[in-house]
Amino acid sequence: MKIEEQYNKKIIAKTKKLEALKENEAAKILLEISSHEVFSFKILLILYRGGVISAKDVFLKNNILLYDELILVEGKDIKISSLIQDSIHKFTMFKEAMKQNEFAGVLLTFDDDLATAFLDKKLTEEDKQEKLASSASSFMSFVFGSYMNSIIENDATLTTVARNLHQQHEK
Amino acid sequence: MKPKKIKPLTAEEFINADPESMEFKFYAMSVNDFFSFRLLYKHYKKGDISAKGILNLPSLLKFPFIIKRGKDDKILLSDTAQEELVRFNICQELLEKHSSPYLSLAVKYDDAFAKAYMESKDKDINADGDLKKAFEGAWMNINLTLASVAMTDIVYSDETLQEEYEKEANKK
Repeated sequence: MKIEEQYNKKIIAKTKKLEALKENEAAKILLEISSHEVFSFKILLILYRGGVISAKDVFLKNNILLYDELILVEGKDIKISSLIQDSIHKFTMFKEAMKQNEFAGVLLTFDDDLATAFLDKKLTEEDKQEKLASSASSFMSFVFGSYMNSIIENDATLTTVARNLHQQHEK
Repeated sequence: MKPKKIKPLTAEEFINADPESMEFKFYAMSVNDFFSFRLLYKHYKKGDISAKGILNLPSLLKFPFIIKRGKDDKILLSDTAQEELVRFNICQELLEKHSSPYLSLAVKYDDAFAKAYMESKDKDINADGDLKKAFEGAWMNINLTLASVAMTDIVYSDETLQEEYEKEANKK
């Protein structure tokens, strides 16, 4: 059996187990996180950086349900690795924020510093607004850069000229 | 007969214009990198400007095919510039008056939604209809694009991840 088929079989088995535990809050959250590409990717990244999984694993199947190191289903209990607890808090907070303000929810997905600051309950409402404004401004610059890059990369002439200008700048 | 020399437009003329005037609004758009880039890109596609010209992100005020001085010193904008200005004004209004950054973002980045929004009379994205559907589509596209860009950014900052990513991409 090919490795990918083995992975698929394993993930189906794990998903079925978690689905059977529908009343279990941890199971619900894990199923949701596993279908959210960015959060799933960030959790795998934590594992890769911690040396738990290989670089290949990050791309082979971008799904946290695959890994026994993260989630252990024992009867009606679920044990979640302490490595991903923080990500689960961030995900829960992100969902809450989405209900109130969709844009704030998006910012929390992308800005780890902002998410960490919001998890720290010592922040005043004023501090939160200030951090959101600063995050929104960096986010918009990031989005603008990505937009420009994608247009440039889709045009061979622009790509070449951009490369030449970059080289000139380097000299 | 000698051709009439066109007096160049200066940034000061725009800054000192009435904030409600088209001149002032166009100046605001010209200092916004995003809209400046979009407009120059459209003119690049038409062949009015070189690739080097667009990448240096020059000021829009420089280009006679975008902005001209007409009779009575009135400024005239190209059709493309006028379209962009309408879109820019909508984004500014959504940001300032209604505090709707996510709606503004959708108008800014999604061409199909921007068109639907500009053509809609009541502009109510919550009312069931084509505008609501267009917004849901735009928001999903924005999220997917951002997620993919953010992840690619992380991957390319790590040599091993980059190698694996490229191997997987080549297989596909």
